[in-house]
Amino acid sequence: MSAVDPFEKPAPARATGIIRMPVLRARGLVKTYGSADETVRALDGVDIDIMSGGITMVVGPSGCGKTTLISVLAATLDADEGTIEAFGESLHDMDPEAKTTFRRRNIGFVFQQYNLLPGLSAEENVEIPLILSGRPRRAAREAARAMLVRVGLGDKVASRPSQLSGGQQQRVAIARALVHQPRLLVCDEPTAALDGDSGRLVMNLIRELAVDPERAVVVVTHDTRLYGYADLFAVMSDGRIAKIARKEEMSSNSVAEPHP
Amino acid sequence: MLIVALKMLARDRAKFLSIVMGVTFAVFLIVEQGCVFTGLMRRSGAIILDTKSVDLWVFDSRVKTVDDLRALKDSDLWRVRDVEGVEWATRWFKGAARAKRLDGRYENVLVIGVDDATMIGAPSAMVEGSVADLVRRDAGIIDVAGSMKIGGVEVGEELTFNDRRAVIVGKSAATRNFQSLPVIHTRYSQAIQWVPTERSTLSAILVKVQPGIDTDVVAARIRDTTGLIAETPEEFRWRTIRYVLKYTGIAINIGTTIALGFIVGAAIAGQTFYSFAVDNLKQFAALKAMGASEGTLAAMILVQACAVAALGYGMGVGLASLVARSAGPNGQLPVYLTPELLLISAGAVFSLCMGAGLVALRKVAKTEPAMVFK
Ligand SMILES: Nc1ncnc2c1ncn2[C@@H]1O[C@H](COP(=O)(O)OP(=O)(O)O)[C@@H](O)[C@H]1O
Ligand SMILES: [Mg+2]
Repeated sequence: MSAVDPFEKPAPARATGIIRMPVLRARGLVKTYGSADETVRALDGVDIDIMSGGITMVVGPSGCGKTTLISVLAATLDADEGTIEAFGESLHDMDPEAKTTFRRRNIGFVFQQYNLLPGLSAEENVEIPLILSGRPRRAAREAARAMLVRVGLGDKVASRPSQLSGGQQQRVAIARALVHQPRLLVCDEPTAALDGDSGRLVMNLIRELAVDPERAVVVVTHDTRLYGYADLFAVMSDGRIAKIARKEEMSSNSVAEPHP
Repeated sequence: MLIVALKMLARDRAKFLSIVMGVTFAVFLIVEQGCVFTGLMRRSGAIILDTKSVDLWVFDSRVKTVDDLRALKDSDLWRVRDVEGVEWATRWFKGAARAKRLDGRYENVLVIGVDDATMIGAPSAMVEGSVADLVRRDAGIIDVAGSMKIGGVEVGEELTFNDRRAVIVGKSAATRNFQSLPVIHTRYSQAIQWVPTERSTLSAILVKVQPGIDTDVVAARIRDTTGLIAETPEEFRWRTIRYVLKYTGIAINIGTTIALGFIVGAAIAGQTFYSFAVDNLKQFAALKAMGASEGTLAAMILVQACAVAALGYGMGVGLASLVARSAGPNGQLPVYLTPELLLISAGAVFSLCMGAGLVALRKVAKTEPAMVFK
């Protein structure tokens, strides 16, 4: 791993997020899948710091371990080895219950497949994180509606996922991921199921709504067209972080400008 | 989150319907077969049940069921009347006879003879005519269901028993009996003319206990002084039911059907509910990732199971009682819906759904929240 100190140089003016401080620090992460005779070392000694205040983009070819990495960072999957300090807590020491509470308090999720509950309307989906954390129904409903307005779906609060386009569903998912003001937002290939325009719309929303000095945003993608949205890159290869790079350090032909 | 759980369940129309149908079917099978069972049991003691205002039945000590009474001696009646605490004791006759219709056909019927003077044991509920008409010459009262079974017998119709004339003067609402034979009530003196019998004709003695005196005490006294058995209607009914259960194989037959109903129902309901939970595994995984605790997920699944059980139960019982209503208690099918049956089937279906819920829950509990990334 080539350690790059993001504070070495000031963030470039083009980047809207200003990387502040490491809020999540992972060391020596190892994760192996499979049985004794056939194992895949999906994470092979990963060290990474995730900063608040900007978007860290985890990039690399399919199968290199990106999803596994953010699953571990988001406390949904246990690593076999390694330590994670997140927001001052030691994830690797937590029992499953504590991890559940940690996720509920600190993490917002956006998935490639949206993963909205199909039986629930947009607003009912968005209020779930608030209901889970015990917010009164009325307050949860109001916050969910306000969040849907912010993602531009104020007129779709009562729509079911099946009545929405893929891009709209992903915007509902973004609203759901941010409604409880999590300190970490993880997005796994958030645009992979979308066409180019919808993808850019989704990334713009993440850029505008999610980036916050108090929040770290991790976006996993292998879509080079999205590179322009990143503040910092973690380039993965074969279960390792090959390099940590700021945008201008990525080869120019793989970096496209964002289309706000 | 329980409301979220119910929405998840109810808004998945197709699956929701198939689960509820499965549970409904299971409940229907259990309740329906249970009804047939209780219906048969009720029929087996129907005659006892219909004979009102009697405290004790007195019969021969070898008697096992109301359908197998053995003749008592007339002197037994006097001895019972002499027992301390007996308010009154009356004769009661029951016998099988063949009735000849006007068109020459013969029908098997049960003839019940009640005390000429007091009419104790006469039908308590009439559909047509009046019990008072039994005093008329050759008069008999037939039960409605039985009369329909032999093609309808009208009031005023004449039948012939053993070359003796009988006139139907009314129709009673008697409970159908085990053999489903038409029942004709008449006076005791009339009955023993219609039915060819041996020397003695007394089938049983009906006893009323003096007010304020313990029935069991009087029953014991009757037993001691006469060597006969004295039982309350309920005891006698259960004696009959026990015999039927023991010697007819009904219990095994219906028990098997109920067990099959339960198994088939359990398979359908359990399987559909389980597959519902498994189909929703990813949704549960998403909730898990978002920080829903094991307890929350368990509550959600169990609430879904409860909802399915309650709906299926309601519809199953509704269906079964529709059938029971159209068929019984005096219809062609021996069905009888009892509170016990409702309780038992409720217990069965709720434990069934809970079982399926728990199996589904295990599956959900084992799911890694990271599955949601796949
Ligand atoms: N549940 C699993 N069981 C077995 N192998 C897995 C599992 N999940 C991922 N893998 C393997 O681990 C490696 C990394 O996978 P993943 O983290 O999904 O990569 P990426 O998201 O970069 O495409 C791949 O070789 C993949 O086949
Ligand atoms: Mg992936």
